Amino acid sequence: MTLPMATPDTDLDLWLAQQTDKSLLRFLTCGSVDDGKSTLIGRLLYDSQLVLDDQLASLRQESRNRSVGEEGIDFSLLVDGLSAEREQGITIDVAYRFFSTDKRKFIVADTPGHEQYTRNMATGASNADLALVLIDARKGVLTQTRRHSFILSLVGVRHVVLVVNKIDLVDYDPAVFERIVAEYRAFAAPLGFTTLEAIPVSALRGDNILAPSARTPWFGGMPLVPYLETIAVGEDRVASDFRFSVQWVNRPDLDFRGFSGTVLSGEIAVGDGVVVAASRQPAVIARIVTLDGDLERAIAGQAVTLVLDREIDVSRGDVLARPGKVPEFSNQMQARLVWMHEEPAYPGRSYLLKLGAQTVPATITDLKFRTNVNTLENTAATKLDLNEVGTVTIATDRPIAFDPYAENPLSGGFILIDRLSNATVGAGTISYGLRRAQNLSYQNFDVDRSVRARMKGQEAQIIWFTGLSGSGKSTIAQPARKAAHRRGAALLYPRWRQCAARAQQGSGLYRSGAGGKHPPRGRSGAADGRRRAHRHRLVHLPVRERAAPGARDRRRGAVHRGLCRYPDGRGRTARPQGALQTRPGRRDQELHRHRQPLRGPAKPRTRAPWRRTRPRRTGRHPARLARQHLAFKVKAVGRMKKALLAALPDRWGFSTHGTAPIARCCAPWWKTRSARGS
Amino acid sequence: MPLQRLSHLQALEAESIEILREVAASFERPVMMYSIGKDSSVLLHLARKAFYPGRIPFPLLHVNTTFKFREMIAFRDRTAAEYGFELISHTNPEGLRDGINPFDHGSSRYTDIMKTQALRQALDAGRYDAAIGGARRDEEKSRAKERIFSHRNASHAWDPKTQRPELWRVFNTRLNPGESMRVFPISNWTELDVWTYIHAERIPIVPLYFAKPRPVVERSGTLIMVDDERLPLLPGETPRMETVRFRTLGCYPLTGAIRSEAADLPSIIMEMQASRTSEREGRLIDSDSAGSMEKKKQEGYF
Repeated sequence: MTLPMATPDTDLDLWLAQQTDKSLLRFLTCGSVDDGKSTLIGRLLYDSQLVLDDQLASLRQESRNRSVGEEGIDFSLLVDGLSAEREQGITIDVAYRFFSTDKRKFIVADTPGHEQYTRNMATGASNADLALVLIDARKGVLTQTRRHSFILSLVGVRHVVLVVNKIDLVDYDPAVFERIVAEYRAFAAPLGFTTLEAIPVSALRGDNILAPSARTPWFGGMPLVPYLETIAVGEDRVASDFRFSVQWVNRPDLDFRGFSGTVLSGEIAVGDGVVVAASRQPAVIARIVTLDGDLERAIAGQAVTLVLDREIDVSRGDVLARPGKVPEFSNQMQARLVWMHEEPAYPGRSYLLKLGAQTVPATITDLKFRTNVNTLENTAATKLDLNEVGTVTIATDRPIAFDPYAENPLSGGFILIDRLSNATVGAGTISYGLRRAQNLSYQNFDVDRSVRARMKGQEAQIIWFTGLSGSGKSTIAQPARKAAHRRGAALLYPRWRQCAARAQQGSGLYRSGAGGKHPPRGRSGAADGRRRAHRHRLVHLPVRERAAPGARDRRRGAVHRGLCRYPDGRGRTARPQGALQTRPGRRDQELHRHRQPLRGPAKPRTRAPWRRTRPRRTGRHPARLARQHLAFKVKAVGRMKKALLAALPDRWGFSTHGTAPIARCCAPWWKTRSARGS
Repeated sequence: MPLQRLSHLQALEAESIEILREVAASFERPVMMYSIGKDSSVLLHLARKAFYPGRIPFPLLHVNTTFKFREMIAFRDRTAAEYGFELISHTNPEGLRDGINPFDHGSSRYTDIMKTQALRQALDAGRYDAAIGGARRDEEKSRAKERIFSHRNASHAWDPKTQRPELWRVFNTRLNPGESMRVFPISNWTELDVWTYIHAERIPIVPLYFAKPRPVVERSGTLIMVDDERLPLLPGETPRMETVRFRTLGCYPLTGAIRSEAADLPSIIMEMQASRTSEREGRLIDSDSAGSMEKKKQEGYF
């Protein structure tokens, strides 16, 4: 029995046209160890006559001392390619295999069954349209089967074929088959697969692979290969919203500026309007360039170069979409995370997040729960170990464009990269963005920033002073404003609520911090959106040394609570944010606690309370407190000044000769001109 | 009727172009391995597509063992002149000095010195952090397991047990100092895909792929083409003219020809469909042991 392979006939061109026009189905095989995944793929390759004579000869030789079918071949040897795999007789890594029939081309990912290689299984599943879940008829549904099915649903495989293998070893008993299918269906119901078909097969003997087997007359369904040939899996990616991920700005000369990338979904034609997801700047598609000539229209999956009708700021990582149908743009999101590294994931750790062409530093801010892959139960957890699945919230250093994974897998799946080892430590799918004020949208006014800037003869800049309260933001902002004012530039210094409105006026110098003024980042969706409308420069001041020892210690609720606020957001969760909104008194108290010396938990008293003890050195003595605070502030302000000078634009004059105004106000502590990094 | 879905060749092409762009955008010093074979020709064509109308933003590196077919070198120079890309040719100077050749030193030693070592030298010399290659997963079993972005440690070794997970089309391109990446944009293509693509896109390839009368000698069942006088003839051996072609190209003393009449692309594709042996059979270096390719890759072979 062989697959009906196309053979070149007289009309070669027609045949070639057929070859190039076939559809492509990517599927994977998964299941527990020894369920016969590799054997099944070997069988498919053998039956589609893709095992060639020289391979067959070497296979026969290697198949001695192994369990073999009627053909005298251990099919699993066809796929297990690594020496370690051959030695142990198991699959370690995903192997990709290719075969085709008259109707379809197939790319098969053969994935490992062993638990320790689950990450490799996820690798195979992420690009598959369909999954064959193998089950050993003698063993039924196993832990690994459940784990794999859950990961399939997690990475969005929507079509599943339950292959009950080794049916020959249970004497083709329909009762066994029915029992397994019922059990699996019950388990898989909440996973929400679009289709779920069950087929009893014997990979070793070839039952129900290509044609209905005479040995299973009780089975009325389609055999495996015909089913794979006919199932419609391609979700209509062309019909969904247009997304284009800019990978590369193509600028060979001054006359051409194109944006190369792949149409992730939807379609686009010359003359269509698009907006940049990050800046919401609109433009119109002027050309769709390829080597084969310009196109009128590009659809999902095509890699093209787009030329826009006007010069707008677009760079690698930007996402183009249609106006009104833009992706979410946020720096906080909820996601499901599969952990893939031996070093566990802890909330608070910082990683690099890569989604499409966007790479940003990101922090797991909260581990909401861990999902038990066997029972699908959610349980509280403090960390995620290798191969565990959890639901987390993630904060990125700057906002990124994404879609919920369920709506668009290509713009909703991300990986986490360890910042030191650069290993891929986790993979996640975004459930939804966490963002306040989703209903606010940006209004494009005719009298815009550039008009006002022209009128005033200046250019808008936002400077964000950020750092712990008391670190000297105001101290710097005041003289900076004076200096700018002296040069004729209007520098505004409002509270954060006024930021957005004042930014429209022309220039602005904004300060934000904790002491009574909310930092725009990560707090308010409104400020967030508006701020994007301007070029902004960050003077980022990592004030952390005072909190660091306590933070490493991480004793619950004792040492560092509310004190350490790292630039990446770590430690922030320790403060009760809800309460802060409504109780300013408490808030100030909390926020200024770092000014007080750090203390460990109270020691148990060892002396009798009535005996007079030496007064404890608490550090709360006002004089000592003041001294400490002063030293702290001087250090912080020195660093901030450095960063500020580096960030300010040249034309403001600070960088060349303008250090004096800032320096003067703090002169006793600074060497005026030496901090310029010269 | 407007295009509603991509055919599998269009899908493969788009995937490869995306990978090439990702390499150019993410690495400091990428380089493309150019072996002059059909896969390299396809890769070159894809690179031109990926960066059109710009130039290919990385150089092409050819590791010259000095035993390549003369027609290949001529084709290489012609192609470089036509498309104007930057071509770097490297030969292991020590191997050249010692006169390493496959006849006296054996194929495995020769391959190690003139190919593997030479490649490592060239990559180290250029401080390339990413090398793009034309390997496909259907070629060989250990290749079927390799990632598209395949991580190499500082000594260019591949560790199959610690491959990075590679999900969706999000590629982890980050490296520590000294490490490098091998990138295989046409991983998911099959030999048939390559040929049909060459046919559909009219990509120029080395004429050695087409059947023509050529001087050959037969050794243990393999037809070796006598490309120049360096091939030592055994006693009683005389080259005779036969109509042959090559399914794969490498160093002429190590590449077996097949008897064939296929002188154009359609007949090559037709012949391939009817054939019952695998592509790498013509390569003499793979047949040493079952894990030989994996071993070579761990040592840094492409």
